Amino acid sequence: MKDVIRSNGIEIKKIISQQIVLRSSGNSEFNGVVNKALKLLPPSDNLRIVTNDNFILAKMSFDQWNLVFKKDIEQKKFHKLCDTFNKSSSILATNLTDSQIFFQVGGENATMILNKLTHFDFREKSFKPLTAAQTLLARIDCSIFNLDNVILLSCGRSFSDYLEDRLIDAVNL
Amino acid sequence: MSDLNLTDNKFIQFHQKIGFKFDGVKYYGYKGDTIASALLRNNIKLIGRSFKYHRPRGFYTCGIEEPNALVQIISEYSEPNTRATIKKIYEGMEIESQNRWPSLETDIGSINNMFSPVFPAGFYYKTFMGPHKNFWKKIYEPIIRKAAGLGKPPKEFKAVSTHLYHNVDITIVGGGLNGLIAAKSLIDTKFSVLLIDFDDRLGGILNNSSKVQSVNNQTPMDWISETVKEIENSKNIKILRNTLVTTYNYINHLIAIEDKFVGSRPLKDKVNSTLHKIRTDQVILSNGHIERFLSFQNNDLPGIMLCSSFEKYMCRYGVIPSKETVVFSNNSNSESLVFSLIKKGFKPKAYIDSRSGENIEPDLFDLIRKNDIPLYTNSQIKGAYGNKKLQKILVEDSSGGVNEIKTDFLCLSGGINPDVHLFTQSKGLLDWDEKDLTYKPAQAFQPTITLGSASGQFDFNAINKEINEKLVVFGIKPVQIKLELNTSHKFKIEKLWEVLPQKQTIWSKSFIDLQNDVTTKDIRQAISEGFDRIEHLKRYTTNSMGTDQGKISSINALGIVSDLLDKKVNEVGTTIYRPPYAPLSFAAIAGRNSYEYYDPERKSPIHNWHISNGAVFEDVGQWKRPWYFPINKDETMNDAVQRESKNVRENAGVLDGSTLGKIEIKGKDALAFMNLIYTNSFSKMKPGTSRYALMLGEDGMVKDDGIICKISDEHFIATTTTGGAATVLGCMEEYAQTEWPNLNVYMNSITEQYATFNISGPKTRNIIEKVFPEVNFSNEAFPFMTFQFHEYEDTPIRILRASFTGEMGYEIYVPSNQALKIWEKIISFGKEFGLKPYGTETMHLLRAEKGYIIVGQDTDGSITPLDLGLDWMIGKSKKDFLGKRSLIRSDTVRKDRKQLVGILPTNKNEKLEEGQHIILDKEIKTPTPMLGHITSCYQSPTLGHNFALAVIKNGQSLIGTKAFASTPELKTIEVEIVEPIFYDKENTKLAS
Repeated sequence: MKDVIRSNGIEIKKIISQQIVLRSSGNSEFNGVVNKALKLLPPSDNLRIVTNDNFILAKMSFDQWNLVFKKDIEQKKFHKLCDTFNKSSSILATNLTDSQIFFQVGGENATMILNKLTHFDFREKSFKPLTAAQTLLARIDCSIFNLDNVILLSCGRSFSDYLEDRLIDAVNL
Repeated sequence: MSDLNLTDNKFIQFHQKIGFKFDGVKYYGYKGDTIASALLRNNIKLIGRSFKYHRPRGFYTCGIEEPNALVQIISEYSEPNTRATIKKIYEGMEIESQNRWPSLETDIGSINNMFSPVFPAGFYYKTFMGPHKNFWKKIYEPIIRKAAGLGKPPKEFKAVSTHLYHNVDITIVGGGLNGLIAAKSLIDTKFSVLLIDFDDRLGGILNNSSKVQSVNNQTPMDWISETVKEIENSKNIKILRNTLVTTYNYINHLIAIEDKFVGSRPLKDKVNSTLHKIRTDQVILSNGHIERFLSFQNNDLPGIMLCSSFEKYMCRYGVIPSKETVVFSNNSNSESLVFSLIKKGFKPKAYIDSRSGENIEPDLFDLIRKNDIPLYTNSQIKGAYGNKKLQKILVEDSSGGVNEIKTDFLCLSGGINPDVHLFTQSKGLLDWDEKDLTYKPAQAFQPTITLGSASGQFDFNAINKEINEKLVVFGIKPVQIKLELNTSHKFKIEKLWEVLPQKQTIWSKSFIDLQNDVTTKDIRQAISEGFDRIEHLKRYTTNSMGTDQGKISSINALGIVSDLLDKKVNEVGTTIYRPPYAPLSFAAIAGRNSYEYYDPERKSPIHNWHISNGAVFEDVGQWKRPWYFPINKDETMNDAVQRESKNVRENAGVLDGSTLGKIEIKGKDALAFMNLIYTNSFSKMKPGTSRYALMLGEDGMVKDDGIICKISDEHFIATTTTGGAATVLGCMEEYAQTEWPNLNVYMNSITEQYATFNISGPKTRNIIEKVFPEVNFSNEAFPFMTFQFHEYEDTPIRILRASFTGEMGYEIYVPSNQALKIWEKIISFGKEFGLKPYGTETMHLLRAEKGYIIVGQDTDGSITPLDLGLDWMIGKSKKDFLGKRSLIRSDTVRKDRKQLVGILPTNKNEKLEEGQHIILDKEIKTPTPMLGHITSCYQSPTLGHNFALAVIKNGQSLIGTKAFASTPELKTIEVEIVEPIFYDKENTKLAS
């Protein structure tokens, strides 16, 4: 975790979290495999998030779930978990730990400052806690996770320097 | 300082003197002054020259509707076309007048006025036709552009602007009396509300005139102060001051521009303006009204101003533009000015009204009589005269006699219009009100509510009823505002659009559009020429097409046209007001998406290493890729590329290929899916092997290429071109979801998960064996086009034996977080073998020598695999694949299609260039049949001369023949058409 900026009522940290993208039809086999491995029942509604002490599991489209690790686990255990999912031929589990960068955003001005970069409606009535969204932020594709009192942004690793610069710029200007 | 100050004014800080320069002369104003109010305070009335005739012009209004007073702000990146009537002054501000030479007082361009008979309406379309077509481009246009126009765009500046998005329930546009009442009624409700006002002081007409004496038994100022405080303290309402709503888009989307440095010099590197983009459920338009002018001879002279503007200068800015003004009106709106003037002790020199005495408001009539003001009823101004300023007017009285009045100022009122620009932008419909002689909002197209004068409701006594009726949808408590007025509560008007002159002269003109110099004569002429539709007439005459969009005059034009055509105004119709309401700077529109953030940048995991090692980058899509690595600042790209490519052929080189697209494909039906997506057949491929593959569009044309690694029949990894990564994944998803939903297959992008390093050259094996000592790289253990997974210091990596250079090579796929560590090891271990990094330009040269294509460079969307000589890549026994059917169309199988060939200059010292046409004749005649063009061309250090790839008609059968490459100088270079492989045709290097 790296502190990006803390100013003007916003605090941003950059995080590299272990992450797996799961593709499946969401059938009972998938639910069973995931529940057994994570002690979490995958959400069935699009853009809903379920969490426990170890994982954040968000349904990002009709056949895609993003699994984010709250705490890093050993590489061997991590790969073993991937293998567990991949044993089922109806599931594709891809390690995206090196592929996505997260920015944890909090503070009283968080959404106002993020609205310098995105049209996205952060009001609670439109973006409820424990829901996710995929939208443009500073003109790049991002996922946004609303986790109670903190917002988690993720973007492709190759864009992360650009997005970090834009976030700092938005806070400072 | 002049004696024009009204120092009892509460808005201007008379204790804070501000120095500024106008046309190089220093003047003083006060904190709170606009440029216009400050200059008027200094008795400056001439502010600019008109667009076409360069006539002297003064301040006509006191707000955003101003057509004349446009100035260049030298101290702000030389910002042009700034309205002096709204821009606040600050210490050290430098302002210049526009469109004049050599000076504002003496402008050579004013000679245009003498030639006005040759500049009638539509002269653009009638003149400048001959004697030759080049005259327009070379003579007329440059002269016209120099002579006419507005300010000069700044050449070098870097304005800083941000965007800010809002999502709210209700947006109130205009913080005047109605806007404040509406906002107050919404305090602490469930709605999130934005209240937007252009001024830094809310209150609108309460601040700008003497119309209202008290609100709820408080002075207007006290009521505003208390109300604004309540709104500011509420949790659900946010106020945006100094913010102008310029655009009302579809689905209640508003755009507003906020000036962040009102009354102070913009700071470098600080945000000068914020562009607010507002998505709202409901819009309340309470943005007031605009006063109209009247047309008569020389109605443009400096010293002529609208009544409400004159009053605003007095009430809002504490300056009286003249102590002895004449007032001319046809409606009740002038009453307030007369009241204000008398209250301040500057009674008008005369009051002229086109209405009869009994139609003038009794209170106004009494006021004029009681103060012994000369009154002209049933009278009209026939003309105004003076040299660069108003000196006298001629008044035709009720008996028909003409009276001369000497005066330096004239206040005009031709009626008022609801400010319907935003309403019409929202596609709301207007209806003509025959009583008030104006268009009023009739039917909203979006969830829009209009309030007060913006809705055409000009009766102060009806405010409560209107607000309570229209805001009932929000479930608010009924509002009860008590107003005491100094003037009559109702609006009355009598029709008058234009006063015809006593006599016509060349100099004297009756203007209908001050900014574009359109006269009433132009309107008549256009109609006589058949342009009787209002939209045609507008374009032919340019009426209301200026940056002010004819805010004070467009309705007058409609009135004149309706009279000329003997039609009702409603039948004539109205033109559509277009966004923006007032000009926006490009800097504001661009926001931060400019300069360093012009385009989002993608970086490879080892980008910083490339920077440290002096790489010069090229943009490939949004990626920054090392183009070449110069060894010092004097080495040119050509020299660097020659050196790098020679080193790869003789020793070894390493390329950062991380930007290549990578897709993981898995599922029970992955094999069937891959066989359908690509032309190749993967059925007989063994796990652990890979294959170069082509993807076609449905039209049979090459769409992308890459290497497919087969892990098992249910699991593949595909690479794509850098630019095609998203397209290929999108295409795979689309076909999987829509065409072949029966297939159980999923795919994920792993482009950014893995860095890719391409090592190639004769010494590659020596290097890679040192980096990965546990791996057996012998030909037997690791043959060409196979791949293996390994662990490297607990990092899972994949090594693929493949090459894009023609040399023996490997591609190493490493998790991005470990990429730098492994790259540095490769560089370090490779040092003793002469390993050097190389960039994309060298990669292009090396692959072209080997005859490898680049999709998008050697193909252009019209090339099939057969055209490229890649028919061996088509799985002929496959039942189907994407694009298969199109490959047997008559057009795709014809012999004379453009096909890939190699090109060599006969004289090896000749240089070829990409894009050159290949022709058969040495002489270039017109027309010359073109065979095709060069797609890739390089100077090869290995061959010792230039070579090229080209696509030419029937190319494969022309191999061995002579042709010519044409040059831009219409010369030709003799070339030979050859096979498109120039290096290691036998593939001995690849398999070494």
